[in-house]
Amino acid sequence: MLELRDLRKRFGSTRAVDGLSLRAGAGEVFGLLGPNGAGKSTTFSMLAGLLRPDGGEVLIGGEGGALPPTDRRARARLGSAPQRLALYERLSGRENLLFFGRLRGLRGQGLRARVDELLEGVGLASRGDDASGVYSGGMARRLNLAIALVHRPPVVLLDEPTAGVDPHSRHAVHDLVRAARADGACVVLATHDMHEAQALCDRVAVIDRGKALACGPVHELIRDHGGRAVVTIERDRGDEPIETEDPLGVLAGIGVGTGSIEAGVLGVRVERASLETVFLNLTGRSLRD
Amino acid sequence: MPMPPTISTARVIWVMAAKDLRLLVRHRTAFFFTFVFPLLFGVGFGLVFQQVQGWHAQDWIAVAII
Repeated sequence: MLELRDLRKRFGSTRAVDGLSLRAGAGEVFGLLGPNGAGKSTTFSMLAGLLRPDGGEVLIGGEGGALPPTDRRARARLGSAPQRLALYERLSGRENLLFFGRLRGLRGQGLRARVDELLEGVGLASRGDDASGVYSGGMARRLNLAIALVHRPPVVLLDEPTAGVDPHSRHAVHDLVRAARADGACVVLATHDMHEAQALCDRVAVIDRGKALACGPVHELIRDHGGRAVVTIERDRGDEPIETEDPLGVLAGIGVGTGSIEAGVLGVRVERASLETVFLNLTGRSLRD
Repeated sequence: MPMPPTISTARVIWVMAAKDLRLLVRHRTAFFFTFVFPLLFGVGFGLVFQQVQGWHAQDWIAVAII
């Protein structure tokens, strides 16, 4: 559905994207993870056809074959929610959706029904006729996502769709993403939120300095790059952390589950590797600009 | 999934123009200086200079529509 082949882009002497090759299919949520300056937004701009690559190509699949995003038919297949909100503040939520729907070739009763459905879906049905300029951050973010989905695009690009929103709005956004996936859309999600990526994404690519460092299902990345679990035994003389690939064995060693726990043990904590561990292991812990 | 429809350039221009007109109407200052102020300006100067240089209210201005 969406393919990047050896994609390259330079800004002066900086290689923003350096030979990136990825593929995402229909009915899949594909996560793009990377620290600041990793090349995520540049990649998104090239995916959306807003930036011309220096090398390589982007192909958007669908009826009539795979096409570059600069092709009009390919652009119709894309829905994009940029990180910076793209709303007209003097128009209401409903008018924003009607405008972008018309730009996508929808009209008449079908468009109005789709707008009502989306306003309901993002929890804005009662505020749909208010100017979007008075919306809270979470409401505006939900409307931004609804605009990306208005024409039921087969490929949806979401750049940090839950940045700065409360947990309620985040769950609403997640539900919309899952609904788009269930409809067969290919959703590409750039995020810094590892919990979000772990909860939503079928596959994830960790990118840094314009290159893909690892790509695969979340559980495989954790298995291959997460490192060992840490079992911390809280003793009366202090905590004793143990890195291990067999946390159950360590627990059995101190008598957990046997009814006779080793003397001096006050408690036990087990921290398994997560996507965040994978991310830090692959990209390092130094701060980025 | 069914492919979304494409849209002609003429339709894009029409949709954008309708949206911009709506935004202009909502922006009262912009609406005043775009539509009302030029009319007031023209009427005011017309009234001031209508008797200057031998012009008369009954003079006609020839207009060609091409």
